[in-house]
Amino acid sequence: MSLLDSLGDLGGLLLGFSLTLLVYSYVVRDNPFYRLAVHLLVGVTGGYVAVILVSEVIAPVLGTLIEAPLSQDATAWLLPLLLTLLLLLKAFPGTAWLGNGVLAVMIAIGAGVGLVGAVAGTLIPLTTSGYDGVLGLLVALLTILALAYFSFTLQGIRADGSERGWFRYVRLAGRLVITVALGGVFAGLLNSSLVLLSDRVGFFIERLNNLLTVWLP
Amino acid sequence: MSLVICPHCQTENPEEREHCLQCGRLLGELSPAEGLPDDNTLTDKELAAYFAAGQDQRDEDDLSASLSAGLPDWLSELEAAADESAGTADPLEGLLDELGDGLELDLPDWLQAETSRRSEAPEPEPGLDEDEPGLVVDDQPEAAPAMPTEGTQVPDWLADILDEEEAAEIFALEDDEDLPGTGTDWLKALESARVAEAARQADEVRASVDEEAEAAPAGAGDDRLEEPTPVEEAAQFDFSDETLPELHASEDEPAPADQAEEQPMTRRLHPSSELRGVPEQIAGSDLPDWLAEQLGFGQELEEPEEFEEEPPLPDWLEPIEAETADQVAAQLDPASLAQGTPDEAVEAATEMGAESAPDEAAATGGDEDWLTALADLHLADEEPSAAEESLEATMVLEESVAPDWMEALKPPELGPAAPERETAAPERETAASTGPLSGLQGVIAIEPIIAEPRGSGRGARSELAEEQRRQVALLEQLMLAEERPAPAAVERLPAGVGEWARLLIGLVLLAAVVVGWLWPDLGGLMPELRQPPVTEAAVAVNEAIQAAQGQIVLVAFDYAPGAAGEMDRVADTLLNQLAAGGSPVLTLSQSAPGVALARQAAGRMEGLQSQSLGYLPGETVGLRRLSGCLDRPADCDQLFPALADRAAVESLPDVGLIVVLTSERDQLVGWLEQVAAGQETPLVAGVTQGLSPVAAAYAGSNRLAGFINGVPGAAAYERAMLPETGRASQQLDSLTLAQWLAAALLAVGGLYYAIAGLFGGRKRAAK
Amino acid sequence: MVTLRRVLPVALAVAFGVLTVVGLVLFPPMADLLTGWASFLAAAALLLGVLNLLAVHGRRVGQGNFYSLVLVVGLLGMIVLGILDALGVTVGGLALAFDNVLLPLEAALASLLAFFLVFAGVRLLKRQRSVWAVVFIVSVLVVFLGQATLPAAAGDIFARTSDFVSKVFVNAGLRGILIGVALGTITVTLRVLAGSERPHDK
Repeated sequence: MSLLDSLGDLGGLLLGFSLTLLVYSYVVRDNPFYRLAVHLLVGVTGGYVAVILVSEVIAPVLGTLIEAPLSQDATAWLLPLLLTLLLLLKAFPGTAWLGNGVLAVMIAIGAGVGLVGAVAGTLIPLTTSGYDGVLGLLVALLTILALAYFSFTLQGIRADGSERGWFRYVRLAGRLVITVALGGVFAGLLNSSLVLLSDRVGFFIERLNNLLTVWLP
Repeated sequence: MSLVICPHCQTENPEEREHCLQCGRLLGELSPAEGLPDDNTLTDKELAAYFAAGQDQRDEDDLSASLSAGLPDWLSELEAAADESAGTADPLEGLLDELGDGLELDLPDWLQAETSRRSEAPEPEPGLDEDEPGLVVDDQPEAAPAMPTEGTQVPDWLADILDEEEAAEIFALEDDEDLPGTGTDWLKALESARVAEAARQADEVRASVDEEAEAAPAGAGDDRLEEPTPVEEAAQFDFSDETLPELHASEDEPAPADQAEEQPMTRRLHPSSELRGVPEQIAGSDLPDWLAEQLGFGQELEEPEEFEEEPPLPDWLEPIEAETADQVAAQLDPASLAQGTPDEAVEAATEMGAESAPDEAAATGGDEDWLTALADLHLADEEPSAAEESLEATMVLEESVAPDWMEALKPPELGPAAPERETAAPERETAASTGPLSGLQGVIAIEPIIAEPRGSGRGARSELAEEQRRQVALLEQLMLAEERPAPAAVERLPAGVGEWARLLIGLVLLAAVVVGWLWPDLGGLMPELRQPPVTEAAVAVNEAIQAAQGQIVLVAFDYAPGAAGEMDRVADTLLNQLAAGGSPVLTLSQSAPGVALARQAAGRMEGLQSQSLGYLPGETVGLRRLSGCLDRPADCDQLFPALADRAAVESLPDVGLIVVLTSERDQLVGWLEQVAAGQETPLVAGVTQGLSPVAAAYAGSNRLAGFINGVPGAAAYERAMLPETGRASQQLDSLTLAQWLAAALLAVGGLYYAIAGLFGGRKRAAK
Repeated sequence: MVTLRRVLPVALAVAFGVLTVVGLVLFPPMADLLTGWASFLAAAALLLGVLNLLAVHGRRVGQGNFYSLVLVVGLLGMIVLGILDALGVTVGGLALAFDNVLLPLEAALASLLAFFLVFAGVRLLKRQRSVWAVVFIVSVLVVFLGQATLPAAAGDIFARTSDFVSKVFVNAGLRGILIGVALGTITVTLRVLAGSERPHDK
């Protein structure tokens, strides 16, 4: 690494470090520095997303249409582009309903895809497999209890509002399963976040160490 | 096309029209309702007459004929019955009874007063108990002996207001229609039946307005103006300057008296004008469209296709869409009618054309359900006149028999053996004879229930069934679970102490991480440690990668930049193995930053053959599209449009393994549901530790071949599967101290507050 | 017209939803076509969303909002860098900004979670003192320590305990949650396909 490169690296390091400090200032309390950092994050993320969308999707499609408007590739894009134009009309109150129509198409296709996926990808596999052996039976029982905890039903409620005995115990058992499961998720999240914190700190330590190696051989 | 000038308002009308587009009067002769007083106020009589004239105009409209022409006979008979009922009975009574007793709605004060007044009346209006049509039509003529044969009979309440000649003219117009019902589509008939019922409700409400006008003596107008009661105060129109600008012109430049008489009254309204006797909820400046039309803010009727285009949604899935009489009645709450923008009234008052007021309402954001429902009512107003003629023609529907299972579901009180109702004719208890439910026994006999006059204070109140009580209990359970307050804090820390405590904990945690990087073994003080072992799921990952050696591997970088600190380690571990196995890699991402992360990761690997497919738009939908391309690459030209080398897309069916690197549940589930569910190609994942429980659930179901969970998993994988350890192991070593500290803080904090809580509870008990 | 405005989106939603489901089950090429359109539309909608963000904060900049100014500058700055890269004026400008601005900010924000998860864990029994809170915190500790690097003796105990808890309780609980989510997805989808759910109106 040359000295010039190291200076550029130092600039990036200082910038990143400053931004990290702005964010970490939230540990004490909400403050303007933190808000500044968050607004900057949203801005650069939005800009980056816009650039990627245009360069990866929009521009190539428009380029195809401009270069060979009558080609098969171009005509295949005509309808999606028309729908996109209609989507733009959602910005105007008088024509928003046309945009709503396009939005409805998007949502409906997504819903249809989600329906088939949920059945084939989650519901069937999670209810039919993975319950082998004694441990599997225990998992099946606890899964049912967990589902029972989430099902708000009239089945186990008396007329006076109290829960019937068996149903109360079922729900308690289900709550126990869910509580332990959420504890496991919390533990995983805590471990992940510690890794990220460690990575942030390690990043600066390593970069600074590299720079010192260049400057103080 | 030649034009005809209206003698009343000087508006140009097409030659073929019999009534003016603007004022609704007959073209060619003056109506008795003309001749408004010179002052800019409207008496109750004038208002009622004008309402009646508006009805006249609507009934005569050409479009109405086309609307009604498609009605089946049974519906036409229903319409006829509705007209006769409206002509002979006090229409407000049925509505008030229905609202007040049947639905127990919260009525506005003015309507409640009307309800109570009517409930005290000793005798109900004749004909109401016999003629009120329900949702299920029973059109047997003998079932309604009191039904008057003359549909044009003027009711007493209207006769009090109108001159007999005037009223006769109004109602005679309803008989002039010649519109045979020829419709056969039973679905359309069902829809029309709903519309017709809504029309009946609308007529009743309009009649209620008339009734209010009747209640106020015409001669007492000035006194009422001087000392208005609260209700009367609310009854004043409040047209602001913005709403009726043209009225100012008439104020500034008063027209000659004779000319003024020929203007439609809406054009002569002054900002200070008032409609006495009309509640503010209806007569306020924010006029709903149907009332604007009633007041002469004439507008073209909408196309008949519009109400025919109502989506025939299944009722069991869309109860809200079914505008039953109850729902329509609820929507006709005058309090809700008052909503709307002044602009709508102005547009309706000043514009004559195809664009109707409801359109404007929708354009200004006023397309709430109640408004669209009222728009439908407006359409339905046109039908009764056509329906009368269709009484002549009868459409014989094939008698149907209910299946046994439906009979078994029938409530016992509706069965043939059920005891007769005291107030209804016996034949009303039997099967419906017309309509789509023809021949069905046990249809809900709404008609006699609605038609039966009763006071608001009488009748048994509904009692809660056990199931309802349980529903209430369930709701309370849910609500209380949400709103249950948190237990009081053990002790109140002084302000600022919490912040300092947070800062202290944060600094200690940070220090532990720094020390973990600089002195991972604490200078030899660290005992012999046991790192997490490799899991079964990780072993499965290794097997899948080994099996895919030399084959194309699709790697998805679907983690956020924020998770890169953890996921980069996992990615590096897997890519290292893939590079060692000689598998070419295709990378893609569902997120824009993922494209850059894939580029960075590929750049870190030496000897890895990789090609970026780029950004996959559409998330779940995009994944499903990709899944199709893994099977059928011929139709995948639109996938990855920026990709210059289409050979990469064409090689998708050759993919031997899919590796998903993600930190988000949605992304992981999306891959499993949309891609793995339809593919034979094995799918493995690298996930964060926070996501590992979700991945474990799917791995147990064999949908996911295997997974590596975060840095501990990657480190274990490196130790067990790779020739040398990498950055994941280094990061795990640095993490040890922070993990211990975090666990200690949780344990100590929990113990402290648990013990403090115990002691605090004893202290409180002692006090 | 009002009815058309109301009915058209619902009719389109029902029609395309049913076509998609039928296509996915019976005629995959049709599903490919529809999902291809929807993917492009999703990208276009996302771009419109970014532009809307720019417009909203652009107006706030006009009202003197400094934070919005920062956001707009950041957004436009990335777009300008992207354009300059595309034109060949700069090389890797966008990647440089990604590495030195976006990545540190997001990483810092994500790692901030560590502090607050520890705070929340420490104060859990202060806020909510119940048996369930105790069960929760014990579960957290067992699973957390099972994944941590520990001295050998303690490590074995926690690893076995954590393995059992994860394989049985956490697995079952997550399965219940995922099945519940899938059922919810199916319900909502059926409502959309029946026209009774209208998310496009929201």
